[in-house]
Amino acid sequence: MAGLTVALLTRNPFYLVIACAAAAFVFGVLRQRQSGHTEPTAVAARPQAWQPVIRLALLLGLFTVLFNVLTSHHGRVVLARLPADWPFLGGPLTLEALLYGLSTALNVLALLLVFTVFNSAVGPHEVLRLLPAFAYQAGVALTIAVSFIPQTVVAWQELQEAHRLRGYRRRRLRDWQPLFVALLGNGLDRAVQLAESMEARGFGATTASPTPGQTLLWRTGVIIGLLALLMGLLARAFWPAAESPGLVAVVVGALLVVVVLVRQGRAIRRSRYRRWLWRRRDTAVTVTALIAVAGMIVMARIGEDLLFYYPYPPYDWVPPFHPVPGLLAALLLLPALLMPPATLALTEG
Amino acid sequence: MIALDRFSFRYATATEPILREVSLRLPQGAFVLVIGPSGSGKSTFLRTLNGLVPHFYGGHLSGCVRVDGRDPVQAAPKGMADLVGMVFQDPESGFVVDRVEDELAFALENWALPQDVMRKRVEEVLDQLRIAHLRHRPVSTLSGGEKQRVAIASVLTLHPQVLLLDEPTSQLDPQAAEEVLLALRQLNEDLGLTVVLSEHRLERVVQYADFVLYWPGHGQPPLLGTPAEVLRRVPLTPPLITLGKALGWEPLPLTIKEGRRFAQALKERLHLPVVSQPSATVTPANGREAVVVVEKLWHRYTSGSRGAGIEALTGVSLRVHRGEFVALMGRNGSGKTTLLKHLVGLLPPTQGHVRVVGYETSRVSTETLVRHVAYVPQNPERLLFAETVAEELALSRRGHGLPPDPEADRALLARLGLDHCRDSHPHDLSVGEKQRLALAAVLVPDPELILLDEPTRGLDYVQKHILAELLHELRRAGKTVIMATHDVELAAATADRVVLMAEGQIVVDGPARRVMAESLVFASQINKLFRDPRLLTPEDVLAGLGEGRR
Repeated sequence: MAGLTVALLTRNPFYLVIACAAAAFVFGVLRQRQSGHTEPTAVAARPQAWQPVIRLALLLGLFTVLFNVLTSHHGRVVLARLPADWPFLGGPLTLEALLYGLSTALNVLALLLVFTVFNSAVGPHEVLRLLPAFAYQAGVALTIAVSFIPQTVVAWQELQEAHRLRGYRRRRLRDWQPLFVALLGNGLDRAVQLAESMEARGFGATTASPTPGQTLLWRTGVIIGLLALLMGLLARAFWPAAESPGLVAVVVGALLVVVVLVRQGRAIRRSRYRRWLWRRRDTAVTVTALIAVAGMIVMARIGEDLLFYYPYPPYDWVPPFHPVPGLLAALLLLPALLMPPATLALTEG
Repeated sequence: MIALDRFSFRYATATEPILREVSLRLPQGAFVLVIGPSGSGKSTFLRTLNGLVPHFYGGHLSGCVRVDGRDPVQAAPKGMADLVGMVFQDPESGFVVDRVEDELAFALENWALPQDVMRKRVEEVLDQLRIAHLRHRPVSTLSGGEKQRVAIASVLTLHPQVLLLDEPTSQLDPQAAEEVLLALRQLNEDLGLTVVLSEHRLERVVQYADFVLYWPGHGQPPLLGTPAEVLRRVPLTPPLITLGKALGWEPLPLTIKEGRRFAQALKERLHLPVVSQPSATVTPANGREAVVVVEKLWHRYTSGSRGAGIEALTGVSLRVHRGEFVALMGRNGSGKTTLLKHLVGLLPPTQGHVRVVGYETSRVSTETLVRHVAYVPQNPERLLFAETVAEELALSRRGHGLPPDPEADRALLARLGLDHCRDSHPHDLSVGEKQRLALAAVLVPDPELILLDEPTRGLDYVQKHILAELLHELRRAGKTVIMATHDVELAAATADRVVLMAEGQIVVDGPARRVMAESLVFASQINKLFRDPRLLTPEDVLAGLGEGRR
């Protein structure tokens, strides 16, 4: 979580590099521990491959950098020029645009890394178990969606092979159409089977079916709450005079939604199998993570220019560096240092 | 106790009821085997018992059902989960979470049981199904048999009285199927759990069953009785029972052990050719053209594909001549599918050469090769893309760049017994029909080599019989067939050469009769009965008897 905050709050490449390095290190330690086990453990459940993430990040990065350099023509340091009569692309290509693109790419990389680490440390079902009751059903849907992806990839490969076996060469977009249809059909079949299996194992068995009146009440509650929220936000944004009524509307709307969700959640009775063992080092990790988050937020609030980076004029294109945020970003290393060599540990990204 | 009283059910889209006025009673603690052709109502019957029919599928029903006094129609599946556990054909698509232990806890969490109860039940079930060593594993890394045992365990945690299984082994190879069936028998014997199991491989289950419930299909009433009683009246049965029925053995033997007694006495009366004479179709290979030449083939799966880094083939050399029928046998993961894929160019050799019908596979594309080589993959459904059966063949023609020819298509469908469903959607066909339609789709360009991967998976005896007949016909038309299969009986009935693979190598290669007679695992039932290379199928025995009578 702290990693995410860092990645989201700053554009400064120095801090981002530190965060990336920390994430990579934690990931490396995780991997090492996982491969060290002969008997797979819970943590080893999803040994994430390193290369695809990097590849994805590079691809996205390349795209953002190119896009930025080719479309943003502001800046003082001109590297090259394209004919000015080219739509969009024409004009000077500047160092500032390149740097801005690079910092965005770094941002993406940091986000991806943090997600990967989190994912390989904590499985989706573990997150699911931590969710409050009212979010549980949405959570189940999400886990299932995640587990559908690898199965769909396999089905896709098989379908492609099948298409070739029928003598088809795919030249045009239209040739792909039957493949997509078949993939969709296959996905639907699996969804039906899964639904059967869940139903047969009593999914939703203890949910007291709400009366029609209750359902209506909940639905109107959610709708009114969301409307109030939206109106409050709009009022605050576009109508400065209505700031305090807007705030009231936001608060009331949010409260209403939460109350309804909690009430709904109470109708679902389920129990949780096996909670995590909370150890002292978990507390340490959580505390440092919180410090990093809080520190970053405080930084962002009081000394905005500390995290600020904007290469275009009038600012300097050399990013500033301040040790405090650097140190905060480095705090993310802690999970790797605290991880015991053999036993299970919960790590917080 | 399970009781149906004048129960009828019709699917919303169907015109005829699939279950008509069914009345039957299954005693508590029984092991009931449910058999019958595809589409006869086996699955519907099973789903009736836990309320998935009608709650999940919808339709019209009348009459009444009771399971232990509870009405599934009223209670709905989620209300039956603590009384009736249901396990499906494909365990993988039923898993919700990805770790074995969490999967087992899923049902318990749904029932909001307290933590200590959950912990206890999960531990118990892990032991009952002997999967404690798998508890932390992601389900996707398990073998087929292990997955199915986890699926069984995941419903047993709620302590149901009845366990329903809908063809739980049809996706498994024989070893894995054995593993699952043994676990079931143990649950039935040790815990007194009522087991209701639908299954095509009678020869594996029939000895465990207390009762057999036969659904003839077409809305006819089911037949319930002891295995011997029912099987006597069922048209297509495993080879041993077929032979027993033909020769009037009493009591009808269900296992090889029981059959041996009759076989000993019979063998004296059999007049068999003195020299073990290979079947007439096997003529010495030399002089005939080799259709398939594989030389020192190695294959290693590269990263990015399934089984990355695995050496699936390690120096395989094989020659298959025109008109031969080869059965490729061996454990799962022994390299059968990989070898077949090489023969149609879907995989490039890591090392070595593959020449098929005169083409070096690494030099031509699969799209070119498939005009001469037909390949039906393990999951024939994947091969089907069109909206109707007839359209499926037209699609093949377009794919191969051939002109449309509805007459030829019609003839091909007729040959494969599919002319009655020309306008059906391929998805609505039975497993056997899908299999034959997939075969039809790849037979369109009239290829000379036909490759089949596990063609009998999920087929009932009737469909298997039709397939065997079809393969014989292709042989007579001079085609070369290579078939990867676990089905010993099919191999015995069709193949003249058996190639046995293990760990990416060919271990045994020889005439089917010799290989089968020398093997314990890969021997047909009749061969196990007589242990004579001249006797592989019931037909062999009856022929020998016929000569004796003359």
